[in-house]
Amino acid sequence: MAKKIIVDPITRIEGHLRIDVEVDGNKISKAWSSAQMWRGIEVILKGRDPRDAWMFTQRICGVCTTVHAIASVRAVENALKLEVPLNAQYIRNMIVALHALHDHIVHFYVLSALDWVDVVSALKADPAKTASLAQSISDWPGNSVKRFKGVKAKLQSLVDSGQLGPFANAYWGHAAMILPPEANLMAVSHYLEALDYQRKADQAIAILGGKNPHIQNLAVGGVTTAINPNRDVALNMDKLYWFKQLTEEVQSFIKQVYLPDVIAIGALNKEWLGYGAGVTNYLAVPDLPLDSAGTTFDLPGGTIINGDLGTLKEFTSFNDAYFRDSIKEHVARSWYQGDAQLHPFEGETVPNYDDFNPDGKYSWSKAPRFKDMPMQVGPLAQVLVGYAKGDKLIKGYVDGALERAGSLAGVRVGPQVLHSTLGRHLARAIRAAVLSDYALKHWQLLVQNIGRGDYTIMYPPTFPAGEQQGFGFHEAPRGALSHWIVIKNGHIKNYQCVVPSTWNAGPRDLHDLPGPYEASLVGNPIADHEKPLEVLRTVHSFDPCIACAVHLLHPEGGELSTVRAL
Amino acid sequence: MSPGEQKRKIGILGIGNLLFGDEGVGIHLIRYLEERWMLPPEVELFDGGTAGLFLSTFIETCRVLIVVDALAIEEPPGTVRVYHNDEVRAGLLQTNLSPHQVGFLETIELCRLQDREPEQLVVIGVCPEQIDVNLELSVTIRELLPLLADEVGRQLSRFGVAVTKRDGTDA
Repeated sequence: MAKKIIVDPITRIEGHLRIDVEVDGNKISKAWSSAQMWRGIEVILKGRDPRDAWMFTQRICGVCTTVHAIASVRAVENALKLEVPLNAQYIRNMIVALHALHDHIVHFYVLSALDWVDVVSALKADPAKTASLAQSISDWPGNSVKRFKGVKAKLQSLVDSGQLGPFANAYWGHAAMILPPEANLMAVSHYLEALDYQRKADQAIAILGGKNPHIQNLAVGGVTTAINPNRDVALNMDKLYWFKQLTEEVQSFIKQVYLPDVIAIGALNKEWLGYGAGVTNYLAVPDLPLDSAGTTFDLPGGTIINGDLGTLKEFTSFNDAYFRDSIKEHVARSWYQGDAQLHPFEGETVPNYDDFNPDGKYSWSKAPRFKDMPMQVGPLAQVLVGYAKGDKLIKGYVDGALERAGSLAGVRVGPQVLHSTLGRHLARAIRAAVLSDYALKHWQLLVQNIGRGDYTIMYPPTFPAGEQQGFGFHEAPRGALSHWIVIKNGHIKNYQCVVPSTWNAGPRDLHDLPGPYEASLVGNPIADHEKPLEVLRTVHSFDPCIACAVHLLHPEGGELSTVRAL
Repeated sequence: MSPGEQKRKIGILGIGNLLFGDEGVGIHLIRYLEERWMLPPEVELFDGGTAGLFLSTFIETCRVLIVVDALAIEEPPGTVRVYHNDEVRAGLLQTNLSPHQVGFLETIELCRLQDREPEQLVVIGVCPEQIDVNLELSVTIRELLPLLADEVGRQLSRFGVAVTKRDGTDA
């Protein structure tokens, strides 16, 4: 008989997520993903000035702080058919890129590496052997015997104190933790270094955005980052070079540490390149616009159906009708009234909470569908769209990474291994490398444009009488994000956010089709029913972030995650 | 701060979630002090919110760190507890009331792993009365603010800092 395991909440994520799985023998046979909080921001926005919406929406989350600001101004601009100056596009793009670099580094090291890295095992590592392992993967200066010795001693004193601090409450010694002690010590050392590099990315954002988290420099129609090379208080060359230096440092960490680490962990856990595919319909939106209107982009977007790269259909502008007309949100299995499937312009947010009912309603998350299909979003979707398109930069990184992983694992691996739990991690690291290149490219574009004497940063909006509809999308760190707005006589009539984590973490729909989290867990092994590490591995690989996925907070303070095996 | 530079700062850090009533007591106290106190330049009042890992940038620059936060212990509302240095790490505190998963204690441990923790750490903890979605403090905790300010003042005097109140009286 199938046994049920409940993990509530999933730890090391932003927000509150409950996962139920049914286990038959030692494999997951069925899964439910339930968002345990309600968001409510759409309700707050009704009747307000559309120019203020981004300030509210970015407070949806303290992790992906910039993304709801970016999507919001784009939605209002789309409704008003308002272009933004080139300088504003470049500045936004640099923020978008650095935010993603920050987010991807934190996600891998702080929030998910401990699913793969056994910190206690690192104490058995030989620092000299660790250095030779690390140096065989990368020539990062931090890969020295001295450094690994120091980290090991620090770790020992932490363990001796009886307080594991940030490393408490993980499944140390679990049978599925198969990395050798040296790989674990290397990863712990890089974990600590990652803390410094994520901060550099933060600082870079603050130079442009005024503060971080939660940037202050956006406006409908552009940015408020005044440009004047001769003024200390404006964006000048000093500040731009400061941004560039920080970005280059972060880029070195990504190329020499983050990407090689993910490749090595992938190669040493190659079994996990075969688990966790789930929904192989992919959706990514284009980003990093290169023109004022948003018709050419550096990052490609589109859809891929059934894992077949030949089905690629691209989104080509901020006004793309294929994107706009294909999305509906289902609430049949969500704690909202009725079972309607509504387009976001018509979207409703009327809560109707009852208990967790696996055959009925069981989540605060809606279930977005693209032409009635569940879609997986995130770095993997974007990397696959780029690969299918033949994007040179993305294809180069993917082929290089797969070749490295294959030679370390001693098997040939092709792009099909990307449809997996570890494939999502690899795609995220690849996307980070791509974005670090683009951050510097857009820096260059901005400097050239300023050099031509163009200091324009904003085209002020005007709000005509009557009703306008608009949508804005942004390829956020967790995937395709879109905001949908209906404006009436200069005020917000309706506002809906369709966020990456609803695409991925959403529940079943009217047709009982599971969402990506739910589908990806099916078939995963469970070695120990009391310690469902494997569930964490697959769910964390999506970079779950539930604060925005659900439509206010349901405080359940003071408790750690409980696992109930029923 | 460069590695050779000496850490001089005394940080007063309020942490918590303003949306959850008394959970935000740390922030409310920072605002209370900002309105009433004048402090020497080496002392910085800091609203840490629920920033978690983001706080390491501030924490690392402090020689002395005085933290004010809500406590999740079974004591009557308004109970104040003061913890010093190793008492803080001894597991007395569970400040994971915030949905953010890298909390203050973990951030302190991460600073320690990098040899960047403050030399002196004091946590002033307050047992909340109500933790519901609410922007206001409960009456019990709001009336406690002057007493909490006195406690911060007492701690500052241990580190040689004299506080002047904006109304001209000594703290």
